[in-house]
Amino acid sequence: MKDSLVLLGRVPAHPDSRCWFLAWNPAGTLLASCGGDRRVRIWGTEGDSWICKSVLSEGHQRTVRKVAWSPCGNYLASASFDATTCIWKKNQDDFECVTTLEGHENEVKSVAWAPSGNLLATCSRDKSVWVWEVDEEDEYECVSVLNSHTQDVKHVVWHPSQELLASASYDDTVKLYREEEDDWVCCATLEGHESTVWSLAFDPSGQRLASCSDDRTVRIWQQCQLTGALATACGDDAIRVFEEDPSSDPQQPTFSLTAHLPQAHSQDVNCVAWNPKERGLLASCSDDGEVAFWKYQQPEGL
Amino acid sequence: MASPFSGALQLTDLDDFIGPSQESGPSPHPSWWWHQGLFLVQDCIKPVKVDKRLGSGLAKIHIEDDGSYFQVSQDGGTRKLEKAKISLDDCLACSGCVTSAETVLITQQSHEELRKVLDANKMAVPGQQRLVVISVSPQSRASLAARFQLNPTDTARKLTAFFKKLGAHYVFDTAFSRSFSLLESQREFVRRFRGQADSKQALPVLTSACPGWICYAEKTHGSLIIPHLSTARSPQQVMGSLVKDFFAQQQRLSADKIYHVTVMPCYDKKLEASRPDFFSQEHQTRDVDCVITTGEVFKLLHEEGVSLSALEPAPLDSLCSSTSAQEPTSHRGGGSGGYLEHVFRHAAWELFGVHVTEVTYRPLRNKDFQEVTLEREGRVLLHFAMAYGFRNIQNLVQKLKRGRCPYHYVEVMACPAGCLNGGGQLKAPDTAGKELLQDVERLYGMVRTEAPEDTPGVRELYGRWLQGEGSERASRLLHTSYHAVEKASSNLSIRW
Repeated sequence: MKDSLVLLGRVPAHPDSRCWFLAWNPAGTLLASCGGDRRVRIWGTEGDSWICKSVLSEGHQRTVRKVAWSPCGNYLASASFDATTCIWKKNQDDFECVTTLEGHENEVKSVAWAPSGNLLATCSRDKSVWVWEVDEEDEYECVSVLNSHTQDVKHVVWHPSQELLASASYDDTVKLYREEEDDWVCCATLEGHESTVWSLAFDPSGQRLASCSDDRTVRIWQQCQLTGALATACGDDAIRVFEEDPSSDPQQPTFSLTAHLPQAHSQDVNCVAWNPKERGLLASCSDDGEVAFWKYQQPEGL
Repeated sequence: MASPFSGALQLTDLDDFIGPSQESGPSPHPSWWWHQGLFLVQDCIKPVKVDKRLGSGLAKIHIEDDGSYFQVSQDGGTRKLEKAKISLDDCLACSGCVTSAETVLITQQSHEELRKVLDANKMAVPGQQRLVVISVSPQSRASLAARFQLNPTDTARKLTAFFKKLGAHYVFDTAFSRSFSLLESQREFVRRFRGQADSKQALPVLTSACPGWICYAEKTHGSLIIPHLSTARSPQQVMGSLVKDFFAQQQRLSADKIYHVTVMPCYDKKLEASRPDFFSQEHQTRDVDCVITTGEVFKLLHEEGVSLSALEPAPLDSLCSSTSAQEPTSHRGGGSGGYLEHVFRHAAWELFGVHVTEVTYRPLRNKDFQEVTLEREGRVLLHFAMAYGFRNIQNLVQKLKRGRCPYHYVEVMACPAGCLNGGGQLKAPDTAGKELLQDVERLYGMVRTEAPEDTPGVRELYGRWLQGEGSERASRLLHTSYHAVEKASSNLSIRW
């Protein structure tokens, strides 16, 4: 298991600060990182090493908590504790802030693009989830303000192929939303976690949703069955990878720990992100301000 | 639990913690403020006088399981802390507290207050008694009509009977005061449209009858929005002027001897009644003393063991002795007052000589956002819109902020579907919300409409009471102003 996750390199991405989140662009060629230094950095490869290709500063006045690439890869959204979300447009190696989404009452915790590229979701400590629509002229308008959660909303994520939105909250629940007539409604609440739900991820097919929580569990919510590796970033400075046991009952699958790296970083690991194109390439970031790149080898027998 | 307040008001709450009480010194624990059950957990910057006790020295605060606070002094002795009080008036000055969802118990209060006053009245000696006037909104009446399956006229008459049975002396309909509100709005728009060359902030004119919208605007975008707000008072507050000024004089009573209650479809109207602008320093009395929601009327009926349908109808009261209509009247243009409709038709005529018979609404991105245009030979002469609900308010405000608002006039309401769908309206356990709303809308629309200038008594009162349209009295009694609330930043606010 020790060889399942091999270190490829580290970069001091957000020095004297913490790195909160990572996002690979859809082509898998760029990695966006964001952190407590209020900046977003874009990383790309040059030969064998990772170098910083751009720094997006002047966008936010407080910590940038999450970044998200549009499905076409030409735009990047950044969600900040300054209560705004910036939309950056990529022009070769440069990024220009084309608009700032305002309206949340306090810290924006997450931002996510819908697979169609026309919708964006944001969520905040103000307990609400907002759905935004973008038109051909890059104008953004609020489509819905959802007040279903009773506490701080930590993360939003879209289904990979449907216009279905999921949110995770300090109220220990996961909620799902879809459009009904001319408004968005909460169509399901997933209860079970015993503490804050920090993050969510759909599997590539969209048939399963994974949630992780302050209760130290990862829960898989499913409607049907498929396989895939699940990586977790943990406050104990470790990175873990789980895979489904192929022999387990599809309706009641079991997962095994296939990689466990105890000192992946010198402090809390905040985020892990699989490269969408290169199999097994994993990026991680930490409170120590560093970004690390790993190669995951699926253990034999799987 | 969903908040009883409109969505717009909900989203203005800030940190869920209050700074420490002055008694104990810095403490990381939240403080809870009470006022007759009004429970606020908030970053309250308002200095509150709390009785200082001697010899405390350094102390800590512990919260017991039942939520009570005990101060533990250095020697280990404990003392239960009294709760400090904030009045509703104080709330409005604060940047954004009031609406911490399920913790706001204001809803439980007002019909109890009404009872107290009515009971006190029964015991009081003549001369100490107050004249109790109840003004019912057409939206509340429609909601009750739907619940009891009565037509609007019967509902109005039976409600009159019920309130008088409880001890009220007069029961009025705020559709009457709404006529003034609409007329003032019409005149104001035409004046501002004509003066737009002189002032960049003349247009768009944004309606101000919805207190949920006003509270949000004052707290979040004060300097941006306030110059655009219509200064015409809402029907509730025009009724306040009518009852405490005109009617008081007519009854030869001082304003403080009248207890004025309004029945409204939402809770935000309670905040509106508490605005300092609607408190008369001269008479030390509010224009509206108590606001109860439709739901609270239902509670009163239930507490009395009365079914509205079973009551014998009573004749309707009217403010103007020259009128004695026995059925209610209303205005066209939807369940939120008809501002857009009236101002549009009046402006089309006054400014362009166009007589509009039917106003055509064009839905935009959703049914709570619609526009109306007046065109001539391909040119747009008037471009009006209605924006209901928080998401549409957001988009409107952003357009305004970026200088990209294409409208001359916008009717803004905090609740999706407008006042008929207010947070204080009755819900039916066995009927889907949508169906119920349709029923309420149908019953609201059943009432005969008339032009506000034709409402019996209105012209007369402009003469007799206000001494002319556009007079100083009309301005003082039918208009108001708004105040931006500065956000307070507390050093002790806790961030997760």
